Amino acid sequence: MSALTVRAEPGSISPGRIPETLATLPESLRLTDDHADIIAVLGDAGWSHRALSGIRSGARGVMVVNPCIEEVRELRTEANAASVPVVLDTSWVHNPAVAAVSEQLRRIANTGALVESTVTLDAEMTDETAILAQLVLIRATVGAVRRVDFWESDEHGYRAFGHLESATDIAVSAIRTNAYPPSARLRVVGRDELAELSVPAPSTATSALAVSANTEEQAVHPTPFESAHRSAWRRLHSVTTTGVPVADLSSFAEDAVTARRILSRSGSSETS
Amino acid sequence: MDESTEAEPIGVGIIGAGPVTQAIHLPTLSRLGDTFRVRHIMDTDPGVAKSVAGRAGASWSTTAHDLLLDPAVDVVAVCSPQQFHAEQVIAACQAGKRAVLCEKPFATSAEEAQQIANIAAEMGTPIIVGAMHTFDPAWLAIQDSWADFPARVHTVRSSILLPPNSTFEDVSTEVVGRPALNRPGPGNDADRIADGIMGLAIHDLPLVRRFLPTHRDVDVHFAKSVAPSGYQVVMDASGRTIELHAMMSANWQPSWVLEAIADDQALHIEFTPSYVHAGSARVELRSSQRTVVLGPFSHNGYEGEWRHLAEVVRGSSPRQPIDSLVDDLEFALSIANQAATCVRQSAGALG
Repeated sequence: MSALTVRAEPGSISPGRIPETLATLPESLRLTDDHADIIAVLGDAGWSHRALSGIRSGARGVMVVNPCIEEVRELRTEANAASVPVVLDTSWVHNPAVAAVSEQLRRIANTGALVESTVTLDAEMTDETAILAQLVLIRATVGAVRRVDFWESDEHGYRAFGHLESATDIAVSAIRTNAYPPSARLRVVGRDELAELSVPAPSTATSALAVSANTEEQAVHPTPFESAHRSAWRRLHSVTTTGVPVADLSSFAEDAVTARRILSRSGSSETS
Repeated sequence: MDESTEAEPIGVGIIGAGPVTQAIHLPTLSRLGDTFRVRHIMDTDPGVAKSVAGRAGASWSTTAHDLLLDPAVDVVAVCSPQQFHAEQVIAACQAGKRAVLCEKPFATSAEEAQQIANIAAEMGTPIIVGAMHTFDPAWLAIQDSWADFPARVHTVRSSILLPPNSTFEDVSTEVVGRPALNRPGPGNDADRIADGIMGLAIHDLPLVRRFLPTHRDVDVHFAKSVAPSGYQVVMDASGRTIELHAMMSANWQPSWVLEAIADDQALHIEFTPSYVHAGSARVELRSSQRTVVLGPFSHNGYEGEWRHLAEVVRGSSPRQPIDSLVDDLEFALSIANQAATCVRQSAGALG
């Protein structure tokens, strides 16, 4: 296996825990200060332009940590043209348990179930970054959010109700606390079965909890002890070396539209 | 900014670059990058030494002697096969290194342990044994809450159910030079159970000893090696009943529990698996009136042992008395030897 070099832009070291994560993939990825195969950018304002600059400078892959809402059309066009994968390391979706149980979650959600998505946030995470990461997780598991009928937010978090593309009801909420590390929970409750996924903070290798139950039995499903950050980097290495296309930016563009629409509301509202 | 980030990073040399170094110590030291720099990696396999050193931007060599001559190495981690531990710990002390962290067991006999104790005392070298559960922050924290609980404990039970190590190694790093999985192990049940005690139970035996006024009267009543890899041991010490159970299997879900039970209180500790950075244990101290829960904290015992080493080197934390480490080893060896004898006697009775 040949190692790809990684250059992290200044300031991105701590938030994405990049050196820690790369230390767990030492044969695949090596941090460097020089020109690198992969660039890692922080997802604060201007990230799409910095990612674009990296591609124009010859990067073969791009990692974006905690992206905020931005227009990504130009980045997507150039990344596609240059066949450069751009992986968005949002908080929850890269936990390896998500891919492992998403098929089951989606199947139950499509039976007219209720979907509940709850995240806990620390003080550093903005509403914008949080709702985006939550929408990405929801899309990856039960399908994209199509409509939001109710939204309210305050200093303690936010709450929303709406529908998925499948017309399934969804309740979305976030709660701010420093009492325990950030986490995400997604529960799908059907008429006679349910499935629940609890995902820990992206920097820990604590395993997720995936449980399903029906009228007969309850099952706990295998979940790896791998952090979401490591899983995201492993994925970027894989798609960079194999050339398998990724759709992160396309999905992100759609989720960003939904997030922007939600966040533009003030206080409580009910609109379609 | 705390003291650890203001001071010059402590240079680390690691003797032995196998899966434990690759999957545990290098990722842990990366998490403590403000405090430590890996300066030198030694392994008898030059390919492994060079590759692993390259990960950390460190020098490499194939002899412990060369590593100990490296002035960039302030502290030494001994992660070689256990039969070399004592010799290498002693050499590191004699080389004037500021501290030595040795993987468990830090010696293979009480005599070796005493030799280490003598040279460490002579050179003033702090010795830390990498028994990660003894540095787990939840385990350390509960001791502030339990008052005289240890004196009232009547039963201690260690239960370990683990998938193969590679399950966790492979999500902690990318191992180079992994030892062959089908290499021959101990040849008979007696050797297997001694190996299990010194390789697996030893993680928790220093914690078990915390509930005993003395470790010198341990008496093993029953011992059985469980195929394909595990053990069952029942013993008593100082009037306490102690059970040790372990099983390695292909089951995906690990369970690592230590319990200590008194008439009116019970301690339940659930540890996270080896290798991975999945936070600390979760500890419950229950009585009929209330339950005290501590943890999980964000870091585990691996990070705890390196943090402790830094504090000892910088003088902000007292070093653990080496006599206590010698007692830990004597306790483990006594159980391993008695368990092996018990298994041999059972086999003889059946034969």
